Amino acid sequence: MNEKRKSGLAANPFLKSLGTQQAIIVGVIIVLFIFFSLASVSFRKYTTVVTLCNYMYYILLMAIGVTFPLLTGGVDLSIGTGLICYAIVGSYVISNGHMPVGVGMLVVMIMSLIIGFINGIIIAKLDLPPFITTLCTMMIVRGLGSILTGGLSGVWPMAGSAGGWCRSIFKITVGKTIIPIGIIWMLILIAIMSIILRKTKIGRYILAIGSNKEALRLSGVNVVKWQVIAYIISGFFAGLAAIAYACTFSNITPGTGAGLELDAIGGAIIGGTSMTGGSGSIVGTLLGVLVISLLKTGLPYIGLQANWQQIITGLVLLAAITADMAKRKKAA
Amino acid sequence: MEEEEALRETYFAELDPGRRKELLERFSRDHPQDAEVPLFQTLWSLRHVDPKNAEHPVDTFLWQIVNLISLYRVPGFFSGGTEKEIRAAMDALGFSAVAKYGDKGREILYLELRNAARRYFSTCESKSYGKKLMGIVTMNESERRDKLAREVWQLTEGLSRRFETDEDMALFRKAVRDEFIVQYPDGEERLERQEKRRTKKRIA
Repeated sequence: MNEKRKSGLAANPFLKSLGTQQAIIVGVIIVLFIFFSLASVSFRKYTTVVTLCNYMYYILLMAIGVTFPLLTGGVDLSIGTGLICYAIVGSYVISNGHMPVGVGMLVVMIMSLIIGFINGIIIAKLDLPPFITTLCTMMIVRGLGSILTGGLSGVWPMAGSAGGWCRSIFKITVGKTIIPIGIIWMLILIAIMSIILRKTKIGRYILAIGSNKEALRLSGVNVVKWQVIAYIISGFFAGLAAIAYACTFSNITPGTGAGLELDAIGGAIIGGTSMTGGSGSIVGTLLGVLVISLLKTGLPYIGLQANWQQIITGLVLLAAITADMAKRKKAA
Repeated sequence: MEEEEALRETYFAELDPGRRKELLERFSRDHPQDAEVPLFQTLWSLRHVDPKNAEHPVDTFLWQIVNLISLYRVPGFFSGGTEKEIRAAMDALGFSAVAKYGDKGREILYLELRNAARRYFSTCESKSYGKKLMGIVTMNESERRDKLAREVWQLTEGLSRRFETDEDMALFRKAVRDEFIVQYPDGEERLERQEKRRTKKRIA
């Protein structure tokens, strides 16, 4: 009977294509969803889906980006404070500089690309440890946002006001129903980045850096260039996450953002991105982020507030790291 | 004859492409009538000449080893067409180029592949290869060997089983496995451990 069930599961093309780890995560997502639905009547409402999406957009965007440095065997810790910094500077350009929202978005993207490039150059060219380097840039961008805006909070134009169209990028209201159309953008980005990772030179080289950087260098590949590109991609997605955050939430407080990167890194690791580099997938990252976002959305419904959310998210992350290490040990 | 054999052995033992080129030139100069010379030159060009830029030092065989390891890790969603990519990699590793030379061609290619595998193993001594946990922690010697054994298993067994490319990869698999066992005294044992682990997983 058991064998029959197992072979049935193994024969399921969806689960087979996901692989064991990701199939387990799908199971965890289903269990979490059922648990929160049973524990709270409010969780079963449609508005929960909208809240879940609001959290998911910026975490997922950061996570897609940070998957690339993780695949090279590095990390980018600057994305969390970077997100807040870019969003605040963008709001400053729009409100104080009286610039159109589009210009604000452009400034956000340029800043994020510059920070990504700086991270990449320091790590690839000067061969400094990614953890330390991005920890430093994390602190730099945290202060930079406050300095550039004079410590003022940022607000992007609200729906209905001039430039309020930015609020309709991720959700639109039809009648009285909010439709989280951001999901469509996320799925498109996931498809694009998955193809880039699996079917293009960029992805191949980034995966190869995490697998064996020295062999890649001796093969004649410009390792510095591709490593820098991995951090630029991370910066680019931190910029997109900043736009998603600014367009979804009403207030952006300077000096915050520390810890947001852990949700993204956690999502990528839960989704199967190896902390040694060389293996991982964007679809896995999506599943990992779903777990993190479900926890963030669901825990308040069962009465657990911010501090408990952090503890539980930390424990989930710890479990994912332990599982990754155990998997590697077992594989050896 | 003895000198010729010694030169041949040195050529396949040498890992530095510059030094190998010198040895090949010497071999071609001293033994212009040797039937193996054009074969050596074909493989040399295939491995070390960048068709877009002759000045650019490359090692396409080394790249294909790294590439094949990545192909093994392709998740199910994107595994369509991997068999084709493996066959293309075998072509890039000289299988088509030596076909017209028959058994002699396969023998020389085997030696060239072993040389490429040894060059790959030599890169595993680098600092970057032994990093884990986002580059914060350094692996100990045993962990490093295990990582390499896992990769060798993926190259020699994993790929051909997952994508059913046994026949296409036979010579490559043999070259990598033989070189690993020669280079590391506990190589066979580590590969057996990998095999047992995989078999256990399949049974479960």
